Amino acid sequence: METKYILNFIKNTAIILVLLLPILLFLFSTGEFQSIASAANKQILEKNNSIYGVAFRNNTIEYKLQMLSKVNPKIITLGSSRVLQFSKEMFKKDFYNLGNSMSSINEGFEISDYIINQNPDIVFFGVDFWWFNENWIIPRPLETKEALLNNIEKPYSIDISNIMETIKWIFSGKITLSDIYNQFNSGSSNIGLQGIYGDGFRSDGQHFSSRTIAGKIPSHDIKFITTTDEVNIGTRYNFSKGINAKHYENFLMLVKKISLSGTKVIIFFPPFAPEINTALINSNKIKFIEILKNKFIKDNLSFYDFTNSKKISSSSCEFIDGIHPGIVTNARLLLKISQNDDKVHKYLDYEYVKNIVNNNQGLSYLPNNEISSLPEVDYLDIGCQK
Amino acid sequence: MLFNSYIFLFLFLPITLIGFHFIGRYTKANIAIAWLVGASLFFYGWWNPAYLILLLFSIIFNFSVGVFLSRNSKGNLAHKAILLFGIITNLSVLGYFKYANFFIDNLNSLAQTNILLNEIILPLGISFFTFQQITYLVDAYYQETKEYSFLYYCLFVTFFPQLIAGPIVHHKEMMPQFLKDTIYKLQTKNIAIGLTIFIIGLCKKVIIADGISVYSTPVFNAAEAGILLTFFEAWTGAIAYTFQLYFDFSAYSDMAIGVGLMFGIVLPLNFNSPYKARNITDFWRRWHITLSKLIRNYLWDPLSLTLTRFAITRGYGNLRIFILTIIFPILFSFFWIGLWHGAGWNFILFGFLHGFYIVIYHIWIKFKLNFLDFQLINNSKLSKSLGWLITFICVVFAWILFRANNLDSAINLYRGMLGLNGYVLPESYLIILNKFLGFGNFLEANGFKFGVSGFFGGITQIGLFFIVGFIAFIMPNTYQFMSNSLPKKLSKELDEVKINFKPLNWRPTYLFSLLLAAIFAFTVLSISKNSEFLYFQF
Repeated sequence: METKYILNFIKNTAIILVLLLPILLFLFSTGEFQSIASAANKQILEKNNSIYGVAFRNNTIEYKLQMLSKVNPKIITLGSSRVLQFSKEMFKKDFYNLGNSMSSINEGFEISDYIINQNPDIVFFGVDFWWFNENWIIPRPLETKEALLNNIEKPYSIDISNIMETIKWIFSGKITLSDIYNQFNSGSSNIGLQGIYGDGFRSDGQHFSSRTIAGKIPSHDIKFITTTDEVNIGTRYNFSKGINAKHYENFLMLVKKISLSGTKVIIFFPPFAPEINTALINSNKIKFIEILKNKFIKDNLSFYDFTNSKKISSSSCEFIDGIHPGIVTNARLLLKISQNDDKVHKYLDYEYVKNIVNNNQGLSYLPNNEISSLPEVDYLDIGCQK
Repeated sequence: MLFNSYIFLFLFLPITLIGFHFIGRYTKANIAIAWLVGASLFFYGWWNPAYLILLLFSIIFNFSVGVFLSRNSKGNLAHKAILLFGIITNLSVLGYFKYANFFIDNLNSLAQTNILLNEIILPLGISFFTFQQITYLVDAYYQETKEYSFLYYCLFVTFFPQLIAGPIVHHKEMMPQFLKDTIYKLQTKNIAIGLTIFIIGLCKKVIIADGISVYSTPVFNAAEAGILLTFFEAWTGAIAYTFQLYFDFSAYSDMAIGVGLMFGIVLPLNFNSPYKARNITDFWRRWHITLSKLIRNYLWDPLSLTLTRFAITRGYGNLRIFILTIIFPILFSFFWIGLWHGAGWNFILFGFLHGFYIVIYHIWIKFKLNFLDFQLINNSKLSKSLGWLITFICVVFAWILFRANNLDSAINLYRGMLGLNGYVLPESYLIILNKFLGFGNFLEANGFKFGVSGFFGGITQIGLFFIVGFIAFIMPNTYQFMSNSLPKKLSKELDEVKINFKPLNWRPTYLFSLLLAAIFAFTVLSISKNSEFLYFQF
């Protein structure tokens, strides 16, 4: 009886492994488990439009710092996910978008040495006003800086939840059998399970959400409802205790630290969608941006305030959601800055940026067939003509 | 080499097992033993071949001393001196590799000196094979060992399933097994049971222990980096580590016993659902059983006996007898248990804390005897549940000292657990809690914050803790599942052997083989970056 048990065990194990093999091969072929170092090398070699987007982990900071060191840029955008829509084509010199690697001032300090090591000429620093909120609990990196970067050379390991999740996605139709077939048949220059669908970071750090803008995945902020609710009741917008002096002081130190080696730091408040700007005004939370602006002025810190996107002739259709401006809005913003700043004007590919504004009004992304052949639709359901 | 590595699973174990049974069947037992010793040394040397010399030196030295002790009648001075010499030599080697840096660091800070010592790499399993051999010397001194060949002695020390992280085995329980003819013949029953126990252990390690570590490690790293942890973050880290260590050590114990059985060798039970313990002494009867037994038999009992005799002859009163014969031996024994686990003040404090718990428990027992009519004590269900809860919380608190890399990070975590760094819940919970009579606002008005809750993953994480808690607190353990088929030697060590629900009892049926295959396949695919077992560091 025991002999049969052992033989059955061996036979069943073999059957299960054979059944799971295609899923495993599919996952590995997407590059989902590639080390960050190897993914970064691949993206650099692919030059333009390879997208890196992993589905099973959040490794944005490690990945972006690795890419930063590979690109060695002269121009950097720094900030939260709100500065993600700047691309290298906008500038005449090497550019890297560090958006999404800083969601608080202390995270800015964590990565500041890496920025300084690159000795960039210009850093566009997008500031979120809730970083200074006394009420808001500051996010912190999950690991210390050293721990984050220790494993950059190591491939990720697959675990049971990854397999189960993939099986779930196949049954729910998020991953179709034709996706799997195409991956085996023709492969992709993109990396990661999200990457193969054109969702993730390009080699210049710009982020793409190809499936959302094509309406294949529903936006989380249809009609800006989610963000409007957040403005009204969300903690980070609730300034009942005002602005934290320590955070403000740290911010000044951070700007000074980056500027010390001759880097020009251009501070700006990224735009909100008009509906959200109105919600900020109606709830009187806009006043905290005013308080910050006054503090900046008092401390001789120059800045640009694009909170009200209408001032740069942007519209709701040029937003990814309530707080994330699209690339056309950001092109408008760059043109505005370049009018006042000779250095920016010198570094900016003015004609290209102007063309973005002239030819793509009402879009949040620029059409790019290499990344996705699917056109942008009115994914926020606000009546945009795309 | 790790049990949870592909090289072990698909090369080392099958080759060693097939080789052992093949040689055992067609040649002499001695050759099969030599094969197993060779394989065990290879297993150990895989990590760092240089330390094989240390292991071999330790084996040769202790075997020679042991033979001398067992050949000469006990009691004379030379005999005692040789035993002392053997023990001191073992402890000196252990002291050098494990405690020298700790000692020098403390000396430097106390005496303001600047003595430098190069970083000493701790040889794997040194505490285990040193203690195992010290007990052998003591047993030899008391003539409790028979003399076997050097080859058999080598296997007693190096048998790879228990070499690195226990269980700590006794000469007298291992040697007779090596002499049995049956172990050299392939016994499918042993293979089937051993394989099942091994795979359950592998699954516990790879899926559960390594899975939970992603919640505990960042919290302890953050505590070490000086980041202030809030209440829920600190408890997340503490609870996660409590379960991680449980499943890690339980996994290793299962795997060691499982592999042992495949070779026909029954290793002693080392882990018996410790988080089901209803008091702290019960916990130590279930956690690292072989270490507890060793300390009890070779340290606590002799010390307590000597002190009791001393106290009685001096005519001490009850309190002084209690202090001298209970409190002192307990604290002294637990000081050594703490130090055994690592060279650091946090380990020493860990030992003392557990010693303190046990002292309190003894006082409680005395109190209970005097107040039997106290209602809470009479309500056995309530008192048992309370006892379990208090024990578990005490254990969680002590594991902080065990895991933290230094006292500062332990204090940082304790501050968080006591709520001294505030209470933060995920932002989205404010809306949800407000649906219950505005409970969210009530909490906010009473010092809670809602925002980015850092390391606290909210309800998903709590759900995960409930699942692993259910496995640890409620479900029968591996040996209870296997109770109908276990070798008697093992099953008699369990206190609640049988489980009532028959379908859960393991039998070599097709269904169980399918289940085992599924567990194995998913586990093998989930093996990550060869994460070490936590007890390897001791």
